[in-house]
Amino acid sequence: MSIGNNNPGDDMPDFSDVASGASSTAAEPAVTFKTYTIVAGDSLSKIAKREYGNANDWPKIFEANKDEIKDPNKIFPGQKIKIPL
Amino acid sequence: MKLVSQVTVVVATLFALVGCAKKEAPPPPPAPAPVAVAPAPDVVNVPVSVKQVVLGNQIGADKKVTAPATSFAPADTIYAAVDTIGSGKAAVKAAWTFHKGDKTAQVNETTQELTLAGPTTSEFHISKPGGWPAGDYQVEIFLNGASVGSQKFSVK
Repeated sequence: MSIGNNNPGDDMPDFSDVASGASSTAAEPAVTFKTYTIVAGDSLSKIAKREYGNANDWPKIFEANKDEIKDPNKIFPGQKIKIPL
Repeated sequence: MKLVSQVTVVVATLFALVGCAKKEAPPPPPAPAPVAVAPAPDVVNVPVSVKQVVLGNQIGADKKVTAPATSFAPADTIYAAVDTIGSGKAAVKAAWTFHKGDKTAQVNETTQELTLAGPTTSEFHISKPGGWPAGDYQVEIFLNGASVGSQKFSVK
Protein backbone atom coordinates (compact mmCIF):
# COMPACT_ATOMS: atom_id res chain seq x y z
CA MET A 1 0.00 0.00 0.00
CA SER A 2 1.37 3.38 -0.79
CA ILE A 3 0.64 6.94 -0.25
CA GLY A 4 1.51 9.60 -2.72
CA ASN A 5 1.65 12.69 -0.65
CA ASN A 6 5.25 13.64 -1.19
CA ASN A 7 6.26 16.47 -3.42
CA PRO A 8 8.65 15.35 -6.12
CA GLY A 9 11.82 17.32 -6.24
CA ASP A 10 12.07 18.05 -2.53
CA ASP A 11 14.71 16.40 -0.39
CA MET A 12 12.26 14.39 1.65
CA PRO A 13 12.28 10.59 1.46
CA ASP A 14 9.74 8.76 -0.66
CA PHE A 15 7.14 6.94 1.40
CA SER A 16 5.08 5.75 -1.54
CA ASP A 17 5.85 2.09 -0.82
CA VAL A 18 4.77 2.15 2.82
CA ALA A 19 2.47 -0.71 3.76
CA SER A 20 -0.03 -0.31 6.56
CA GLY A 21 -2.61 -2.24 8.47
CA ALA A 22 -4.72 -2.14 11.58
CA SER A 23 -6.80 -4.36 13.83
CA SER A 24 -8.62 -4.19 17.12
CA THR A 25 -9.90 -6.22 20.05
CA ALA A 26 -13.34 -4.67 19.58
CA ALA A 27 -16.06 -7.32 19.47
CA GLU A 28 -17.49 -6.00 16.25
CA PRO A 29 -15.21 -6.00 13.23
CA ALA A 30 -13.76 -2.64 12.44
CA VAL A 31 -14.07 -0.83 9.17
CA THR A 32 -10.47 -0.02 8.36
CA PHE A 33 -9.24 2.24 5.64
CA LYS A 34 -6.26 4.26 4.63
CA THR A 35 -6.47 7.87 3.57
CA TYR A 36 -4.96 8.57 0.17
CA THR A 37 -4.53 11.88 -1.60
CA ILE A 38 -5.01 11.70 -5.34
CA VAL A 39 -2.02 12.83 -7.40
CA ALA A 40 -1.80 13.75 -11.07
CA GLY A 41 -1.98 10.68 -13.30
CA ASP A 42 -4.02 8.60 -10.85
CA SER A 43 -7.09 6.62 -11.80
CA LEU A 44 -9.15 4.36 -9.60
CA SER A 45 -7.98 1.29 -11.51
CA LYS A 46 -4.36 2.41 -11.19
CA ILE A 47 -4.79 2.90 -7.46
CA ALA A 48 -6.53 -0.48 -7.17
CA LYS A 49 -3.67 -2.14 -9.03
CA ARG A 50 -1.15 -0.56 -6.68
CA GLU A 51 -3.14 -1.21 -3.50
CA TYR A 52 -4.69 -4.60 -4.19
CA GLY A 53 -2.62 -5.93 -7.06
CA ASN A 54 -5.66 -6.00 -9.33
CA ALA A 55 -6.93 -3.04 -11.35
CA ASN A 56 -10.37 -4.67 -11.56
CA ASP A 57 -10.84 -4.05 -7.84
CA TRP A 58 -11.42 -0.33 -8.49
CA PRO A 59 -15.18 -0.59 -7.64
CA LYS A 60 -14.18 -1.42 -4.07
CA ILE A 61 -12.55 2.00 -3.80
CA PHE A 62 -15.39 3.70 -5.66
CA GLU A 63 -18.01 2.19 -3.32
CA ALA A 64 -16.11 3.41 -0.26
CA ASN A 65 -16.00 6.95 -1.62
CA LYS A 66 -19.41 7.55 -3.14
CA ASP A 67 -19.80 10.63 -0.99
CA GLU A 68 -16.60 12.06 -2.49
CA ILE A 69 -16.50 10.58 -6.00
CA LYS A 70 -19.63 10.85 -8.13
CA ASP A 71 -18.07 9.67 -11.39
CA PRO A 72 -15.31 7.05 -11.18
CA ASN A 73 -13.68 8.57 -14.24
CA LYS A 74 -13.41 11.98 -12.61
CA ILE A 75 -10.98 12.21 -9.77
CA PHE A 76 -8.76 15.19 -9.10
CA PRO A 77 -5.32 15.78 -7.64
CA GLY A 78 -5.67 16.76 -4.02
CA GLN A 79 -8.84 14.77 -3.44
CA LYS A 80 -8.63 12.68 -0.28
CA ILE A 81 -10.20 9.27 -0.60
CA LYS A 82 -10.59 6.19 1.57
CA ILE A 83 -8.86 3.01 0.54
CA PRO A 84 -10.46 0.05 2.35
CA LEU A 85 -7.86 -2.24 3.90
CA MET B 1 -94.26 -27.08 76.73
CA LYS B 2 -91.76 -29.24 78.49
CA LEU B 3 -91.18 -31.11 75.26
CA VAL B 4 -90.46 -27.86 73.46
CA SER B 5 -87.89 -26.96 76.06
CA GLN B 6 -86.19 -30.30 75.78
CA VAL B 7 -86.04 -30.09 71.99
CA THR B 8 -84.56 -26.63 72.28
CA VAL B 9 -81.90 -27.86 74.64
CA VAL B 10 -81.05 -30.79 72.36
CA VAL B 11 -80.81 -28.57 69.31
CA ALA B 12 -78.68 -26.10 71.20
CA THR B 13 -76.41 -28.89 72.39
CA LEU B 14 -76.10 -30.26 68.87
CA PHE B 15 -75.16 -26.83 67.56
CA ALA B 16 -72.62 -26.51 70.31
CA LEU B 17 -71.15 -29.92 69.52
CA VAL B 18 -71.03 -29.24 65.82
CA GLY B 19 -69.45 -25.91 66.56
CA CYS B 20 -66.79 -27.54 68.72
CA ALA B 21 -66.14 -30.28 66.19
CA LYS B 22 -65.64 -27.85 63.34
CA LYS B 23 -62.01 -27.47 62.65
CA GLU B 24 -60.70 -24.01 62.48
CA ALA B 25 -59.35 -22.89 59.15
CA PRO B 26 -55.55 -22.84 59.15
CA PRO B 27 -54.15 -19.43 59.74
CA PRO B 28 -52.99 -17.68 56.62
CA PRO B 29 -49.33 -18.09 55.95
CA PRO B 30 -47.26 -15.28 57.24
CA ALA B 31 -46.60 -12.59 54.77
CA PRO B 32 -43.21 -13.17 53.18
CA ALA B 33 -40.52 -11.06 54.60
CA PRO B 34 -39.59 -8.28 52.26
CA VAL B 35 -36.58 -9.22 50.17
CA ALA B 36 -33.97 -6.61 49.68
CA VAL B 37 -33.51 -6.16 45.94
CA ALA B 38 -30.34 -4.52 44.78
CA PRO B 39 -31.11 -1.70 42.42
CA ALA B 40 -30.25 -2.46 38.79
CA PRO B 41 -26.92 -0.94 37.96
CA ASP B 42 -27.24 2.16 35.92
CA VAL B 43 -26.24 1.59 32.33
CA VAL B 44 -23.80 4.37 31.77
CA ASN B 45 -22.48 5.06 28.34
CA VAL B 46 -19.03 6.33 29.05
CA PRO B 47 -17.82 8.28 26.02
CA VAL B 48 -14.87 6.79 24.22
CA SER B 49 -11.52 8.23 25.19
CA VAL B 50 -7.92 7.27 24.55
CA LYS B 51 -6.10 6.01 27.59
CA GLN B 52 -2.62 5.54 26.16
CA VAL B 53 -0.60 5.02 23.01
CA VAL B 54 2.36 2.65 23.05
CA LEU B 55 4.88 2.13 20.26
CA GLY B 56 6.88 -1.01 19.58
CA ASN B 57 7.98 -3.42 16.89
CA GLN B 58 5.89 -6.36 18.01
CA ILE B 59 2.42 -6.97 19.43
CA GLY B 60 0.78 -9.89 21.17
CA ALA B 61 -2.56 -11.58 20.54
CA ASP B 62 -4.15 -8.94 22.76
CA LYS B 63 -2.93 -6.28 20.28
CA LYS B 64 -0.73 -4.73 22.96
CA VAL B 65 2.90 -3.91 22.30
CA THR B 66 5.13 -6.54 23.88
CA ALA B 67 8.23 -4.36 24.21
CA PRO B 68 7.64 -0.60 24.14
CA ALA B 69 10.19 1.35 22.13
CA THR B 70 10.74 4.77 20.63
CA SER B 71 13.75 3.87 18.50
CA PHE B 72 13.52 1.47 15.60
CA ALA B 73 15.65 -0.24 12.98
CA PRO B 74 15.05 0.45 9.28
CA ALA B 75 13.60 -3.02 8.70
CA ASP B 76 11.15 -2.86 11.61
CA THR B 77 7.40 -2.97 11.35
CA ILE B 78 6.32 -0.18 13.67
CA TYR B 79 3.22 -0.66 15.76
CA ALA B 80 1.14 1.87 17.67
CA ALA B 81 -1.22 0.24 20.15
CA VAL B 82 -4.02 2.55 21.22
CA ASP B 83 -5.90 1.71 24.41
CA THR B 84 -9.37 3.17 24.65
CA ILE B 85 -12.07 3.11 27.29
CA GLY B 86 -15.75 3.80 26.96
CA SER B 87 -18.38 2.59 24.57
CA GLY B 88 -19.99 3.72 21.38
CA LYS B 89 -18.94 4.33 17.83
CA ALA B 90 -15.52 5.85 17.30
CA ALA B 91 -13.18 6.59 14.45
CA VAL B 92 -9.57 6.14 15.57
CA LYS B 93 -6.93 7.40 13.16
CA ALA B 94 -3.16 7.08 13.23
CA ALA B 95 -1.34 9.71 11.17
CA TRP B 96 2.34 8.87 10.68
CA THR B 97 4.72 11.61 9.62
CA PHE B 98 8.44 12.09 8.97
CA HIS B 99 10.18 15.24 10.16
CA LYS B 100 13.32 16.79 8.79
CA GLY B 101 14.14 20.28 9.98
CA ASP B 102 10.99 22.27 9.52
CA LYS B 103 9.69 19.97 6.80
CA THR B 104 7.13 17.28 7.32
CA ALA B 105 6.24 14.41 5.00
CA GLN B 106 3.14 12.36 5.40
CA VAL B 107 4.00 8.68 5.74
CA ASN B 108 0.60 7.09 6.20
CA GLU B 109 -2.87 7.68 7.58
CA THR B 110 -5.01 4.74 8.61
CA THR B 111 -8.42 4.88 10.26
CA GLN B 112 -10.43 2.26 12.10
CA GLU B 113 -14.15 2.85 12.50
CA LEU B 114 -15.06 0.92 15.61
CA THR B 115 -18.09 0.04 17.69
CA LEU B 116 -16.70 -0.15 21.20
CA ALA B 117 -18.21 -1.76 24.27
CA GLY B 118 -15.59 -1.20 26.92
CA PRO B 119 -11.82 -1.20 27.14
CA THR B 120 -10.31 -1.95 23.75
CA THR B 121 -6.86 -2.05 22.21
CA SER B 122 -6.52 -1.09 18.57
CA GLU B 123 -3.23 -1.46 16.74
CA PHE B 124 -1.93 0.36 13.71
CA HIS B 125 1.22 -0.71 11.93
CA ILE B 126 3.39 0.44 9.09
CA SER B 127 6.31 -1.13 7.27
CA LYS B 128 8.49 -0.11 4.35
CA PRO B 129 9.90 -2.79 2.06
CA GLY B 130 12.90 -0.67 1.19
CA GLY B 131 13.58 0.14 4.84
CA TRP B 132 12.79 3.26 6.84
CA PRO B 133 14.97 6.27 6.19
CA ALA B 134 16.82 7.25 9.34
CA GLY B 135 15.38 10.24 11.07
CA ASP B 136 12.62 11.56 13.26
CA TYR B 137 9.03 10.43 13.00
CA GLN B 138 5.79 11.00 14.81
CA VAL B 139 2.46 9.26 15.07
CA GLU B 140 -0.53 11.37 16.00
CA ILE B 141 -3.73 9.71 17.15
CA PHE B 142 -7.10 11.20 16.33
CA LEU B 143 -10.40 10.25 17.92
CA ASN B 144 -13.42 11.24 15.85
CA GLY B 145 -11.30 13.79 14.05
CA ALA B 146 -9.77 15.42 17.12
CA SER B 147 -6.13 14.95 18.02
CA VAL B 148 -5.80 13.13 21.34
CA GLY B 149 -2.05 12.77 21.53
CA SER B 150 1.13 12.04 19.66
CA GLN B 151 4.32 10.05 20.12
CA LYS B 152 7.69 10.82 18.61
CA PHE B 153 10.08 8.10 17.59
CA SER B 154 13.20 7.71 15.55
CA VAL B 155 14.73 5.29 13.11
CA LYS B 156 18.47 4.71 13.42
